[in-house]
Amino acid sequence: MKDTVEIDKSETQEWLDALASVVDREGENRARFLFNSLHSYSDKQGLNIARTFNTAHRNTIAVSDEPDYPGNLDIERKLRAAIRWNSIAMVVRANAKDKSIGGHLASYMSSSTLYEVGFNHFFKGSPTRCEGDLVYFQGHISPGIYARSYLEGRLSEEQLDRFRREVGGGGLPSYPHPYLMPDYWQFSTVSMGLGPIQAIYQARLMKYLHNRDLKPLGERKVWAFLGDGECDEVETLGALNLASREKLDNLIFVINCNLQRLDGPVRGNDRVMEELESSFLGSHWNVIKVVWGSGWDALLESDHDGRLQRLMNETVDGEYQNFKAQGGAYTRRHFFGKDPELLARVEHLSDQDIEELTRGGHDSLKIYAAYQKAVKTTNGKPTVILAHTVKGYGMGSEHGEADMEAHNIKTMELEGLKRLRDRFAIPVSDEQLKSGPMPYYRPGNDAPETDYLHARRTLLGGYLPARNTDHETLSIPALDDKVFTAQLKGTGERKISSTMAFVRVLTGLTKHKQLGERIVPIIPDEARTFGMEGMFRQLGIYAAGGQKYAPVDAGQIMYYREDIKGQILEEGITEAGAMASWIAAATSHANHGKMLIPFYIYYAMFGFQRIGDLAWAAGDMLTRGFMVGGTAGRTTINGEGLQHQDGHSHLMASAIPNCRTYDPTYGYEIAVIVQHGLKEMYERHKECFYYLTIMNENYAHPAMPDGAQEGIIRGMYLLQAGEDDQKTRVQLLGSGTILREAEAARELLLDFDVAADVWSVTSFNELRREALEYDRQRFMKPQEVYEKPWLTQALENRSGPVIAATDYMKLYADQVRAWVPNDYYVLGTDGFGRSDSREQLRAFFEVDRYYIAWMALVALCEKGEVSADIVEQAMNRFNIEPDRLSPLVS
Amino acid sequence: MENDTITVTGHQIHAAPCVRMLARTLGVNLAEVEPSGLKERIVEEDVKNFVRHVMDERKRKSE
Ligand SMILES: Cc1ncc(C[n+]2csc(CCOP(=O)(O)OP(=O)(O)O)c2C)c(N)n1
Ligand SMILES: [Mg+2]
Repeated sequence: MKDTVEIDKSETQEWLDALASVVDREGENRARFLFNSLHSYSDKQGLNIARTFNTAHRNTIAVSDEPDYPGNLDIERKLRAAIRWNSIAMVVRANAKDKSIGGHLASYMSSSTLYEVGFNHFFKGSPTRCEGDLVYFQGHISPGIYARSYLEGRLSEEQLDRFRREVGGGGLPSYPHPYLMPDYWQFSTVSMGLGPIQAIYQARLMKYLHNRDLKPLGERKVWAFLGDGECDEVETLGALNLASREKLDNLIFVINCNLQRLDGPVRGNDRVMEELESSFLGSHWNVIKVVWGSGWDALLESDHDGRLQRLMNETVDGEYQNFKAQGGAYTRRHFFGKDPELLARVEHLSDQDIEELTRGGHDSLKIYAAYQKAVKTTNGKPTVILAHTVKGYGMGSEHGEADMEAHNIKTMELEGLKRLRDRFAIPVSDEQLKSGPMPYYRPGNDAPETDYLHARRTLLGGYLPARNTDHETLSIPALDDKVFTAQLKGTGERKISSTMAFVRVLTGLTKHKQLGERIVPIIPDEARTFGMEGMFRQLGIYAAGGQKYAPVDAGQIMYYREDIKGQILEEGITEAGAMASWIAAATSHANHGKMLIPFYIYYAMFGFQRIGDLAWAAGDMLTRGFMVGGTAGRTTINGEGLQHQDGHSHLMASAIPNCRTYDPTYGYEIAVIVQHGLKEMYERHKECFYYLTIMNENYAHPAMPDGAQEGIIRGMYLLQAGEDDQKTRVQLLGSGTILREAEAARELLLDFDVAADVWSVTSFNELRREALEYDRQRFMKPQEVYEKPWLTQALENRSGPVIAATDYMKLYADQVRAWVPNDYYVLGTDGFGRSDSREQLRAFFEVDRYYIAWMALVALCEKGEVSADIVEQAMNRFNIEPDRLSPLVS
Repeated sequence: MENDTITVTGHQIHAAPCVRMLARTLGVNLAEVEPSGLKERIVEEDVKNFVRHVMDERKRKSE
């Protein structure tokens, strides 16, 4: 620490005076230039003098640089008061009826002014809902947004009374959920961290659309509001560099630094604003701090010796919380009181005055200055505004303001309500407060506030939030289009992987006249694994600044071509980022009025179990597009071992209600599924998205059997009928690569005079969903007759036990047991994977042809259809070791 | 944040650190020096000229 000790004051003085004189005579820019020159000189000398990424704990924008406020402060204050009041009323009323309903008061109280300055002066709306700004609201402040919509007349009192009372329709969801309010909410922002990462990739998608001439960006901005506690989520800060690298000057983060999260302070022993400032500055964002309200201006102005500033810099967040929780007298004693000189400087202020020294995030003037600067800045960087606020602002220190438990307050006592009413001058009598539930308050239709509210929104283009529900319809080519026909014909003797079959379909789509430009392939650094590198040259990799170098493979046919008009989004190794990117593209129709067809192709294992929460949010946001899990199947991606071998993504995907999943084997299945998916989503406007797994094992793909199409979509079809003349029969079900083991088992069984019908099960998940609906109908209206589930219909006229085998956990195939009209046996890959040949792994997990055949014979033996001798013979022939350890535990 | 409490007072005078050091070593009050640089910046030559001028004055007086 030697270098921080002052050893020569007069020398220091000379340097500081010199700098000050430059600022004084030549201005800030010249000072910055000199500073930068010093810095690059020290760099050249290898001096290793690090630039600090922190500034003093004060407003970034000097008082003298604050613009005039263009609004009517008095009216805006009244509006905020009414919105605050109603945001509390809806939560208090809901919990008065049922204490379990929940909701939050304190968070919106801390961010109300941050939103309202935005609503009155910045957030652009548009009649089409596809032209204005995109605002990612912090999830649990939704009552404040509903309360504003109520004043705007967009929501009724009845609707407010149905906050968190949604069953039966017409209620208001706890948090922003497009699924539950599709013409209102646009983005799911709970759980924490999903909002910021989505906002970054949304801003990037808008640049992509612009650069590809699909939709001009114009002045549109993406605003993301988040909590300071939320910044501990890796998703929140993990993609900051992408935002600066891609020069997302259309992106503004507003972080509500109320210094608290749920349990307590975000950084009690430190300063969260300081930490965030350095993270964002280090990631090359513009940082605008809004720390102190106007009340502090005079004190800071007269702080010539820097004593006050120093105290501000050194006070930790836990103390700052105390000052607001304990009030003015406490603040005098424990803040200013740390320095007698400062104590003297606030002598003229009453305790009340000190209490009313606000933080910047509650001061419209300071917020306006920051937003204005953020919107006008043209240095190509994204901007973050760090706004210092108080959790539960205005609730009063005895009623939750800056309270340690502020986050969880959802009810208010009479005294608290009275104080709140007085604080915000709400025209409600004591009587009204005492006699019934906390009343709502809406200024009359001809009140100046109401006029103002509508005038501002009209000027800004329309009301927010609002989601477009009037979507473009695309015309999808029929299955006999050349995009698909090659796959329907099969590959003859040629062996290819299902991945290659998929890539051919995808390539065909990108070349399609109408659809081509809408296809958005998104890859997290695995294109070569999937054999997609041919697309690099053909479609180009999106690069906002173009390609600035000659790629080393420039001479080759499939070189690494980057282009500002590139179509492929090559995301690099960030599954969360790639998924956020996919979500932005998969909701483009709702936010930009431009229907895109995104395909996110990734390592299946690093899909749902890695980005599961984003995938769930994708379902909520009514995404349309394809997720494609490559190198899928526990035994099929054989060499990569335990952490790479996916044997459960289908089970995870099945948890998302509007995700339709398929585990196809052959090229024609892929063609049928993709074509059907396109039709469902883009022509028929079904609110769903598709997940399919593709594999890297090579084999010959047959032509599509006649009449298979419906079964492929519904979940299963007869691939190969067994010999008619055999009376001993089994039904073999398989999916993915393991279907081929079932086909091979059929051959083995012929030697034992057993005939096998082989079924390709493209989706156990789809079979189960349909069957569950069938059961439910039967249960609801038992007197009526229903068509049986597809699965039951398929198997009920076939004899023999049913054996299913997949490359997934047994539960995947087991989930349809209730509707299998015969004995049912399931093989699967439960247990940790490991590296070996496919053959070895399939034997290890007991899903290979021998186990399938053996299981079939055991099943027949249990029915008395083959003898124990035969089973023993088979055991020897197939080298089955009955004493080996189960793969689940070995 | 070590320098927080040093007050910056010398900014009425526009001069680089090396010039300020020179003035301090020679005991020159920069406020008395005539600037010749852009935007009234005092350069090294100005300090030297000032000293030369003072010395000349003294010589002239003692003669
Ligand atoms: C991933 C996730 N974990 C936990 C929660 C529960 N939760 C909701 S709000 C909250 C505290 C938020 O604190 P902060 O981000 O500082 O927001 P504030 O309310 O203070 O503005 C928590 C833990 C959540 N919604 N999502
Ligand atoms: Mg917080």
